Formats: sequence, C-alpha cells, structure tokens
Amino acid sequence: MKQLVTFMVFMVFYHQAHTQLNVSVHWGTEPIRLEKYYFLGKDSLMFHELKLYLSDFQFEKETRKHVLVGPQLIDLEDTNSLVLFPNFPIAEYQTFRFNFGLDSSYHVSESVDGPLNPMNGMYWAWNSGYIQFKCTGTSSSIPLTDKTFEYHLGGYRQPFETLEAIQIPIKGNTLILDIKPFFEQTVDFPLVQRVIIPGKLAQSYCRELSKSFRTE
Amino acid sequence: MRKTVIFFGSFVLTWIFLAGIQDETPFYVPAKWPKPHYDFSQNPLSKEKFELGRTLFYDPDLSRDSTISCANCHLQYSGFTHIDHSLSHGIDGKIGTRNAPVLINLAWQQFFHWDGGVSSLNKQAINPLTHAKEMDNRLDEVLRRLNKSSFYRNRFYLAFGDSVIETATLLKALASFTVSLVSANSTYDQVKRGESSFTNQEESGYQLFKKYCASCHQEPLFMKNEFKSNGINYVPALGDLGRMGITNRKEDSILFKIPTLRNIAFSFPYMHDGRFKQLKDVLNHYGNLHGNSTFYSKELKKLNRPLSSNEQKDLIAFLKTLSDQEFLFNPKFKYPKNERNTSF
Repeated sequence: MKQLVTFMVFMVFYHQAHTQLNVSVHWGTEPIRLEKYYFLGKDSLMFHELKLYLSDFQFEKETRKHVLVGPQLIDLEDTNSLVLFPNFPIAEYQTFRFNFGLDSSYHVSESVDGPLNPMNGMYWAWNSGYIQFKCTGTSSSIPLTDKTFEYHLGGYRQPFETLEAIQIPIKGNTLILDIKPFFEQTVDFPLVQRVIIPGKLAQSYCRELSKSFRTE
Repeated sequence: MRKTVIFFGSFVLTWIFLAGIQDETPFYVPAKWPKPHYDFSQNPLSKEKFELGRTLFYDPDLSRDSTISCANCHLQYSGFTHIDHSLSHGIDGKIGTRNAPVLINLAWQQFFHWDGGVSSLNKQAINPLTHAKEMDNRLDEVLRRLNKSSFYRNRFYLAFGDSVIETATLLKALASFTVSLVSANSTYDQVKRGESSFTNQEESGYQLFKKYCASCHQEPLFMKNEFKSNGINYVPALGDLGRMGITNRKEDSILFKIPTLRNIAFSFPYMHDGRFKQLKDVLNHYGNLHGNSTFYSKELKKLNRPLSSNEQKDLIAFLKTLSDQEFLFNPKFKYPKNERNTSF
C-alpha cells in the first residue's frame, strides 16, 4: 500500500513537472514579483508591469521535432499566462527553439484575438505592430522627479527588427528569463529612462535580453 | 421540359434576388480600376455589417465622455474630413498635430495616417477610439458600453452571428463602413466613361495635371501608396517627422503619404498640417519651391517655376472635376436613422 501511494505521488509530481512549460521572469535567482523592491547596485528598483511575447516553439530530440506555432503573451500579472503547453511531454525533448517576440506575420496580421488582442496593452496603434517586451517601473537611480522608467521594446520593420531567435537545451520544464544582467549591464538609467519607439536602442535592448534565457 | 425550365428559371431568379440583397452594400470596384488592397476574405461585406459600421461611425457613445463620434472629424460633405479645421479637434476641445485625412476609396490604400503608421484598415479605428486627443476611450470600455446595449447586441448578432461584441467584430464593423466609401462618379470619371466631356479649360488643366502632378497623384485614384516630401519643412511646434516617426530612418524624414485628390475642392484646408486654405495657395507653394533642395523629391522638381495665373485657373478647373456629388451627398453614407439613440 505504501509503495502504491509513493508511486502515485511520484506520478502526480512527474506529471506536473514534465507536461507543461512554466515561464518565469527572474531577478537573478529570484522570480520577479510586481511592486516589490529589488537591489540594483546601491539603488533600488521596482516593476509595475512586465509583459513579453514568445512565439513559435519547436521542440527537438535528434531527428524528432514537434512544432507548436502561435504567439504566447507572458504577463506577470496573469499567472495563467506563465504556464504554456499543458499536457505536452517536454521531458522527451533535448532542446527547443522559439522566438523572443513576434515575427512580422503577426505584426501585420488582421487577427485581434487572444494574445493579439489590442486590449492586452501590447499593440502600438500609431505604428501598427506589437511591443515585444514591455516593462515599466520606478528606480531610485533615475534622476527625474517621478523616478519612472518605461521600456516598450518593439519594431518589426528593417533595419530595426527586434525579433530574436532562441535555441537552448532543455534542462527542466521552467523557462527562465533573467533580466537582472540587462538592468545591470545594458540599461543606463541616468541617461535612458524611456524607449517607446522602434529603433537602434530597442533593437539592441532586445538582443541583450535574448541572451538571458535558460531552462531549469 | 417546360416545367424544368420554369423550375430552373425560378431558381436562377431567386438566386439573383438573394445575391442582390446580400450585395446591397455601396462598395464596388469601378471598371478599369486596380484590384483593391483591402483583403475582403478577412471581412466579407454584408449589408448588416455596413449598416452596423455606419451606426457606430456616427455614435458619440464610443468616445470617453460620449460627446464626439468618428463623424465629428470626418464629415461626409467634405469627403469625410474636418472641413475648415487645419488641425483636427478632438475630445475636450483638444487639438491634434495633423489635418484629418479624407476617407475616400480606402479599399485601395495600403497605409493609413499621414505617416502610414497604420497598415490595416480594420485596426485603424483603434487610433481615434483611444487617442487622448481624439475620442480618448479604452477598447474595453467601448466593448462594455456596446455589450450593454440591446440594440447593438442585436445588430452584431445579425452582422456576425454573435451577440457578444468583441474587439474583432467591433473593428470589422467599422471597417465595413469605411471601406465602402467609394468615390468614382465625378465629372472626371464620367469623361473617362465617355458620358461627358471636359470644357476647354478643364482639358487644359488636365494636361497640366498630367505633366506636373500625376506622377504622385496617379489616376484613377489620384493617390499613391508611397511617401514623399511635399516641400513643407519641419515645424518644431508640431514635432511631426512624418514617415521617419514610424521607420526611424533619416531618409524618411518629413515624408508624408501621398493623399488622394478626389473631392479636393471640398476637403480644404490642405497638406498634413492644414496650412493652406485654398487650392491656389497649394499651387503657389509648389510653384515657388525653387526645386533644387536635396530634401525635395524628384517629382517636386518637375515644376521649377511658378504657374501663371491662367495655368492655375485651368488646373483648379480640372481639380474641380474630381468632385463627386453622388459620393458627397449619398444618403447611404449619412447619419443613420434608427432606434439607436434610445438604446443605452
């Protein structure tokens, strides 16, 4: 009986651990919570909003591939959005590819459903297309009275396309984006508090962010 | 045999009748016009969608404080622009940075807004609905109001087979109206169809037009899905970089979409900032550019001298042949009379 219970607990754990992809945005080793203070050197930082698009996943093991096409909106305010592909046997694969952001076909798509609904706050009405990565917050290191920063990173037209293709090994079923290195090494708060249009800066910021994905 | 013919004939007549009803929208592709850019397969037109879009277009409840509708800045008798306003006026009397564009033959447009930042007619309506200087509402609030209205739930059901109003159906309904605003029955069109003829002055103006204007304002739409300099320099007070504001590329600095000239006599004032009140002001502007600046497009350099007074009169006489009275006063495009006003 004891063995049966152990087996059932194992199966439940195995099922939860290996049949979905969890997404987590980290500050170093810690999952980010909105409205919580984090240390940025000697200063502090807090996120009010953090959203991003991931799209077109392809899971691979040797010659076997499984493609899950479509946009995924990750929103730290919506815990449901942090779980992708329920009942998908991720543990059976070794690596996966996906896009950080949406490719141009989504930006010019006529669809406004689900993740592409403009009500999600990721659609640029004035410049048709979607923000790939959005975060807003406050930091004591910002030399403005309101201390706010606003990064709406996007753009799909050349030469300022922001889409980044990612390929990483599957070491676990949690996909982590650690944005601490980006804020420590790339962002210069005294100089740039706002990036809200497509351009070189949005492009280089997305490139830097794309280097911080890993699985655990 | 006779019964078969009668049966078959009845079937054909019924089909034609039903097709006629289904096709009872004002949209059509005039003979010899290019293929529309709008993808009708994504939003097949119907009378129900058109009428619904028309009602929404004229409904001030779509704005934050229920004071202004789309039609406030897009009046039919001016070609659906904001006549006599250089810059468009929105909610709370706020003034924008550009002249409201005409809504004419939108099915053939690839880009929308003066900078072409919007690439989908279906999605274009999000801009005026949510812009702080226009209708300043939120999409969720617009949908909440519409879903509260039995009138709209009913109409959306008739148009889309679903009484729950969502972003997609709201935008498709509005686009069904705006894409149907076809203007193709001006004197110019009648001349081209052999139903009328130009006066000598109009014909002379037409020749000038073909020489100096037609490379940008291409017939038969009198527009082009491209961006060019119109010879107006950057205005710091407005901060409008034109196409560069969208692409962030230096070579697109102060380029603007080439607008249609159809119904131009009714759609004053002119240019992206509405600085010219009369057509002769525009012609004087183009004639006095001294077209040697690298900033000007090659098309502008074709006219390297002021037009004479007579040439101006001739050209304006031709431009007036682009006025389409049937379009400007078409009752199908007017404020709709229905029970909408008492539904909220």
